[in-house]
Amino acid sequence: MMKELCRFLLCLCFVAFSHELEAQAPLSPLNVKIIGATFATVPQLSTYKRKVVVLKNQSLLVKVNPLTYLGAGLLFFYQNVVSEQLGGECSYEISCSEFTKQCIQRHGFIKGLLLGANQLNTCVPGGYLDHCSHSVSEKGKIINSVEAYD
Amino acid sequence: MIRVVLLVIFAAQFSVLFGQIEANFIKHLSENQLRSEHLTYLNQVKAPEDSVCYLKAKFYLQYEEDSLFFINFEQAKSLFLSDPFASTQASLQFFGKGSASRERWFETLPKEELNEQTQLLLNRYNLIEYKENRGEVKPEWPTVLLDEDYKAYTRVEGKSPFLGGFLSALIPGLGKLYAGKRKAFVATFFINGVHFVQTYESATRLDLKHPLNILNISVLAGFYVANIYGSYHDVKEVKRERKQQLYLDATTHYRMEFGDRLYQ
Repeated sequence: MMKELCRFLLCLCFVAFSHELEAQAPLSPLNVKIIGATFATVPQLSTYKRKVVVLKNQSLLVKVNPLTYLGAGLLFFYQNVVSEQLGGECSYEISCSEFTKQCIQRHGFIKGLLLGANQLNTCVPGGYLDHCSHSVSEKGKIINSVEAYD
Repeated sequence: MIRVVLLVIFAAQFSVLFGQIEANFIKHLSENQLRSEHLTYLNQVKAPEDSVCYLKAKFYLQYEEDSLFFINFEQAKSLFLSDPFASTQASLQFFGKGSASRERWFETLPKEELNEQTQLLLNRYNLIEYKENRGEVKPEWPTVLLDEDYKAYTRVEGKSPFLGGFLSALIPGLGKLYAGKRKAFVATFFINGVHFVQTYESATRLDLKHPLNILNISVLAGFYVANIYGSYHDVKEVKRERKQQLYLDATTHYRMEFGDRLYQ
């Protein structure tokens, strides 16, 4: 059953991705942007500064809750130690861990966690192909904003 | 006596001179992006109020200060709309902006007495927002890109976010495919599928109350619910994106066609 499931998933991936193999297809605005980002002469280094925890405009309950600091500390450890070693690159402009953190701060724990897990579900190389060209930045990252889910 | 008369005539002409607006000077300030000088001149010029508001509206339009533009526009509406360059540029600028500014501009436009370019943009706005004349005549967009953008938008326009969420509840990721996101569907289906298989394997081999099983089931449930919630938002997001892309591409095309002159 496992083997058959694996074969099915493999066939599904092939069917889903094979239609993109069009060497003679005309360049769309999105492809032009991605090619520009890929062959840029200056390396596109991320300069986004991450804050450990933002307690401004938060209620007293949040400020004195030890879980706030525990969660912020775990995420700080992951982002600055584990993630640096893994060397992964997120498809989104705001990385999945940072997006989850900001969503939890803005929208609450449950909604924030669900939005973060949803972004994790869809964070794959080439994910920008599902979006329009104005939603993709010059660096080839999908523009995601926390305010869009208000 | 003659000297007094000449002095009075000279003083009258001098005051009239100060009361006139130097159109060429304003055009020079605008074309050379001399923003502070331009604003200083407008604040000091002595002219009827609606003329000053009309010039200030053009100034704030050029520098994209929408709220100040609308304040001045409301006080000099007829004068502003009678200027074909100003009304065309305003329509072009708001056509490509966010939905709130766009709606505010096009909803305040009168139905008649508009120049040709502004009328065209208003018709396009009504076609996209209110589906006016959609069934009667097939809208002809000037380029293939705009036609494709329009078709892409009309394809997703009638899709229901709740149906997207429901489809994702049946099969993880199906709601994203319904929204038109093929890569997201494959990724979501694969991730949830692997999670499910792994949870099933650990549940059959270990006791259900085993901490690892509890962790697996919690993670699977979290990703599954997130997939449903995300699919609901994805359908709304795709509709918004496709509409904005159509507006942006149309703005780029019509800006090339109409030009970007604000002053005669």
